[in-house]
Amino acid sequence: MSKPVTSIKLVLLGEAAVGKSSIVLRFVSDDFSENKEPTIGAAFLTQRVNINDHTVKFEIWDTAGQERFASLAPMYYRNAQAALVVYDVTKPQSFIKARHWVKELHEQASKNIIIALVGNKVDIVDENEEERKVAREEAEKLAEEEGLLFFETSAKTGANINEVFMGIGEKIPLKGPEEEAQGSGLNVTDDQRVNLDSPGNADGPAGACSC
Amino acid sequence: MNTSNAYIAGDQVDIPHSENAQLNCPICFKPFTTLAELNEHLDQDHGFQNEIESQNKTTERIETSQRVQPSKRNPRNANNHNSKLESSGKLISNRHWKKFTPGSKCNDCKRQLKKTSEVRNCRKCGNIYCKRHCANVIRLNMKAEYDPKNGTWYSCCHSCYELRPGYNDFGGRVDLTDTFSNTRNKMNVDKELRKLQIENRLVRIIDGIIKLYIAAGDGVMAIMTLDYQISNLEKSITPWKDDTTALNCNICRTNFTILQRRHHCRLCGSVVCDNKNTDCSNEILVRFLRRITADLPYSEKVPTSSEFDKSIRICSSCFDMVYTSRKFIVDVQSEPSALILKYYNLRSLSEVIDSILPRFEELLSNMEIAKELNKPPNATEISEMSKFRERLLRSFTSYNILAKQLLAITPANISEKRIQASIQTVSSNYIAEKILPMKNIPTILGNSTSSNESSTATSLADSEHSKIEVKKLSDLMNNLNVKEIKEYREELMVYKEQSFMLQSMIEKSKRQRNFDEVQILSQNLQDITTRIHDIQGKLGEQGFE
Repeated sequence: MSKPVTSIKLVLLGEAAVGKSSIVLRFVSDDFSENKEPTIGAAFLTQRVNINDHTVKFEIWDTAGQERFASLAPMYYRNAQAALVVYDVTKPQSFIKARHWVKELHEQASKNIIIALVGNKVDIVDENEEERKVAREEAEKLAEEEGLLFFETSAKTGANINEVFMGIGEKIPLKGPEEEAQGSGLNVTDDQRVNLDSPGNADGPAGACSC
Repeated sequence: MNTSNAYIAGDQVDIPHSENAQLNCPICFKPFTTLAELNEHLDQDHGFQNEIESQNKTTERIETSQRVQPSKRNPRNANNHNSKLESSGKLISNRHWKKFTPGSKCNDCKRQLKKTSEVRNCRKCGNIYCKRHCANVIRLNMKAEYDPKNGTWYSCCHSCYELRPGYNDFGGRVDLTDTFSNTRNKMNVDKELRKLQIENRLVRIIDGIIKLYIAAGDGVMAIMTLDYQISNLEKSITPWKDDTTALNCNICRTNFTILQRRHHCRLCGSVVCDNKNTDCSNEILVRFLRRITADLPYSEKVPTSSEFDKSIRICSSCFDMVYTSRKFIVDVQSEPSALILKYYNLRSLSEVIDSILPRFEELLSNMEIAKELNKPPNATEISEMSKFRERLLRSFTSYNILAKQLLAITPANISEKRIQASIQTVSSNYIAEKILPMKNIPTILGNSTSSNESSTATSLADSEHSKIEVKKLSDLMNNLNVKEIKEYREELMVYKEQSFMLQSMIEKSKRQRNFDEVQILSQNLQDITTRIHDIQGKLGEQGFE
């Protein structure tokens, strides 16, 4: 309870059907669904994780990959602290799109945004190496040039998913307790909440009837 | 067998062997078409069957009978009438039947038929069908011709069923227009007569009242007796219905009570209430009635004195009869309202635009073709086009102004308000629809100006001129071209969708008591709403979908 809480606004970008929503679903509820409907607009989810002594709260905006929702993305990455650019390791086209997203983020998003490049669906490649269409080296090279974190994940098996978010959480400058106190109303922390367990809150003995 | 049978039937009758010749029964002279039928007739009706023993019944005969009467097994033909006729020997001709060979196909579904039991011959055309496609019934005579009166029911194929004369997919049709118009005319005549009667009574009552009023003078006693006299006069002209049997109002059917009094209409005599809400009857001033029915042959003049305040009670249906048709005529003859006048102007303006636009569009497409072929545009065409554009532009502007003026008029009544709303929809649609094709002009002309620099000075000047016009046009359209409008509209749609989703997400989070999530989502919703307003502002009038 006394751990300082940091909120991280995180946005997922990438071509349609690369598995953005599945990554989030795996991270938030450790679940996977085989036939997911395409996302409409942008979905919002939150998840708390403990990193070292801190609690990090991820506010995740999962944007739709379809082209017609392209105009929505800037609204969400503009003041995001972190971005996940996702591509599909079996689809070269999605990697090209990922390059575009990285470029756009560097131009439009805030200067110290932390970007993670994520190659999804490695479970397909693990089964049959011939399915791989985007070389790991190529992606690593891009990550190195642009200063990105790089992961290859599988939302289906859950491989590397938590590592992605942990990696981002570790790179975000965590707030100290003194900064936390003057945080804006937007970052409601657990310190400010009413603790129902503490005896000071209860007016009378618990369970007693007033009559 | 046939021949032997016939000879036995009687030597005196020479049975003709030709197929077409008429066959008559030698005993009762009944006509038959085929020998087989005649034989059946002789066997069964005249009892020859017992004499000729079954020795003659060859396998061939059994086969024929099986083929002639398969319809007996058909449930649709199994009615008493039919089976009786068939068994009584009246058998339909089967000469025209197509022969069945294994492997023939059903003429309708083209299914291969293997067994004889599957096969049906259409009794009319004789073609081979499967059971399913020979299931219609039709009345045929012995020659297998359609005979709706005396024929017997036989199964037939669908095409014969449909091709028979008088067949109608939609069933029979009866023209009732004359009956309807007769009934209607009769009712109208009745109504006219009724109206005449009512008007007659009205004239007599009003004349009578005025006469009595003038005769009464000013005396106190006279005034007291006047009402009594008028009442008597009214009763003498119109027979009043018995009010003790009338339990409810003749028009609104409200029951009469102590408070809801009975009243008599002075024109039709029926018992009605005077409820102010239903307006079943009203006391109407003689002066007013006299004015609205000035065309009726009154003999007395309305007293000029302002003290003449007599009125008569008239029910709403009589009042309608007397007043409504007259008001309609007056309304039609009177000057149309300002709203309608403006609308006439608007219509004529839109007619002007409609007459110019086709030619203008033609010129535009000509120019597009010229541009694609990299030819310099025709100078005369350009000048003509710029002239047209100028006219169009002026017309559109005045159309717009006129429409706005029209909408600024305060409507006089509900119907005018409705008309106004309709005009608003129509005019805004009209502008949007007609102006959108004109947005192609900037790109075409813009290119033509640049590619045209080497050509003659006149055409250049013309293009310059048109460019200025185009600028004006795009001012009118918020500086957006078709593509931009489309993009903005799509964007607007996405944002609206997202804002809707956010609202539902907020609701969900609220239910789950997840208030920091609600806060983030509301913030986002606010951003989206601002963006929506931005786009709507940019789109302006083009924003509607």
